[in-house]
Amino acid sequence: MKIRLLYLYPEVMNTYGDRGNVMFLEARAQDYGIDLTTDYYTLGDHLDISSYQLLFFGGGQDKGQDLIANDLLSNQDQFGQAFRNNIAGLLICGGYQMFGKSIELANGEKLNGLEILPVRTLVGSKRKIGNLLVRSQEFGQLIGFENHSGNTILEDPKQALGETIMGYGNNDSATSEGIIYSNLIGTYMHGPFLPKNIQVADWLLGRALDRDLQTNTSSALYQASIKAREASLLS
Amino acid sequence: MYRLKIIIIVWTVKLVAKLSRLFGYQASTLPGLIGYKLDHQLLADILVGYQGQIILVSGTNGKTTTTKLIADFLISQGKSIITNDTGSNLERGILTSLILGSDWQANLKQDYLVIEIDEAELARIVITLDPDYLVLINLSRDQLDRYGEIDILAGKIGDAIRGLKSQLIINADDPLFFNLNTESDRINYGFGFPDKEIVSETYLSDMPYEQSSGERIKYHNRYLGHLGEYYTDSQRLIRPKLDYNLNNVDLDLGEFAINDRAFKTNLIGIYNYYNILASYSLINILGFDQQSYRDFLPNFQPAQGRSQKLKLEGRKLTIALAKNPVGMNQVIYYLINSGIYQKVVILVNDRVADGQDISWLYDCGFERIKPDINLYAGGVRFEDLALRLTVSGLRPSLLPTLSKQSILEGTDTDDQILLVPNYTAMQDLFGVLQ
Repeated sequence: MKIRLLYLYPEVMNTYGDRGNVMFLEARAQDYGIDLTTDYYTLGDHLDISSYQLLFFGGGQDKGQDLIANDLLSNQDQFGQAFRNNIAGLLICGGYQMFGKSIELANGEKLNGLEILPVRTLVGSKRKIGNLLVRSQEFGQLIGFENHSGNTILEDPKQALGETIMGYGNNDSATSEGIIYSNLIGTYMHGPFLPKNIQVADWLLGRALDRDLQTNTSSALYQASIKAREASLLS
Repeated sequence: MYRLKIIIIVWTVKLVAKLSRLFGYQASTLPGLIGYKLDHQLLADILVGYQGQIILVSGTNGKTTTTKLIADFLISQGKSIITNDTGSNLERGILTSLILGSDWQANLKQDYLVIEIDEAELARIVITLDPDYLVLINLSRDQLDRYGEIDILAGKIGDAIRGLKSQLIINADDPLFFNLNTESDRINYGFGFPDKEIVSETYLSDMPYEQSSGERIKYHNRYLGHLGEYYTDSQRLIRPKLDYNLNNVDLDLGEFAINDRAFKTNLIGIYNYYNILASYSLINILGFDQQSYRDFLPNFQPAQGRSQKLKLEGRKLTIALAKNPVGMNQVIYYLINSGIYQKVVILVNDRVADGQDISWLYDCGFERIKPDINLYAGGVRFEDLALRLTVSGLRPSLLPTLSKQSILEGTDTDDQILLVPNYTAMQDLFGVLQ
């Protein structure tokens, strides 16, 4: 079993330990004997997305997102094609916003997104920082930490990743968090989201392989993940 | 009348400090906090009429050591000083130190105030402090939930110091300081040697691109995180010319030169050479000569928890604070992987003073830890730390409860134990060891 993972703009979009998700996918792939290789794509590189089954796109500082916007949009066709080919992917914070239709900044300026996810984002003035607890139909409870000022609106609220139990999630007023759309997951649970939500890592690996994985519960990684998850849920 | 009010507040604060110390508290922040509640202008009020010189040290990594190098040196030269050497570097901690150092008429009579200040607090109160000298040592990611993003913080500092008359002493190797707009003179210090065998984690670059043009920042030599001799192809960004240049380094012998004058130190790690360079630059600008600093340096004792050595029931403990990725990577490189410790305990808390977001653990290069190290995960978030280490293929033991017993467990007399706490974990640790 082979998966090729493409990590988008790792140097710019890695503000809150986002690389932890890629490290976790690599470690979890080992539990299943999957040969997972990671490539990095960054500004000015030549992009050929057709050979990848899995994408990771993290959050960046505001300036960082400005820097990569043009480069990203210049590859819009390739990303659209990859989506139609059912590529799996985890998109966090800025990555989530930029895969949507548009991002409207506080000063009224409107940036185009890749127009893959049916969402729009308005950048608000309120910074939403803190623990996030979400109930998801697909994944059960999800835990994470948010730190963003985006207000993301889903065209179809039923596509949300889950319902917010604690924290904000998608925006100031809704009670939903993230999106699950085809094989893509968008979320505001920034930084190392997968390590304590191992079921999502398994889902992404499964989607990338286009098969269901029989959950490996015996590995040291699984045990450590469940322990840390339970400790967080208790506190 | 107003002056009388200040004197009464100062008496109150001094009394609170005396009482809390009587009851065994360290009293490094509470007295100042009470003073602040009684008078929001107290910091400005207490500084009215001060005749000596004010030195501020700020930045992410190395504040406490740099401040202590300056303070201890000045004391060695017979100068009277006040310093906030407890590491309480927010307004309330600074207030506590100043008030406790003032006389009963609320006057400060010392030659120098040597103040460590939190890099986020700096922007807020630097105008009130109006320092004669401001030493900016570096900025890197630390507690993003509290400080926000690093380039925004750099901008805020730039805004805050614009128009100040302070003499700036700046780490020229940090590209985040390149754009500091200021009317002050700027003295630049930095490294001038080839960077071979020095750690730098490329994924940890806090400024890989020039902010306005998006040009990639490159390095002729890169020393620590994003610190180095940097440039961009267009030359829009280029490491400034050095007024104080540290070179000829021999890390094993602790020998180096600044502006071709030789020095020797017992401090380990490349980060300490930045601290030494910062303190020497300032001290030299104050008018002290190279010989006096050279005599002082080998006798310098680092601050609490900065590679501090202790004995506990026949074991040799080393305590090395690591509270952000750059600091942790240095501890991994110089201490954890040195192979001399029979037991290594990392302690991670997530209290307010640590930052409640522990995603920084994934910015640390734990994957570089050698697999045969006898590693323990402790602190309030020991499960998260253990998970992080497991992701990198390590198999740590758990240390859920911190006690003398749990620290010593599994070791023999004469064994060496390395303890690596973050900020409040260090406070817990000293609580347990006392």
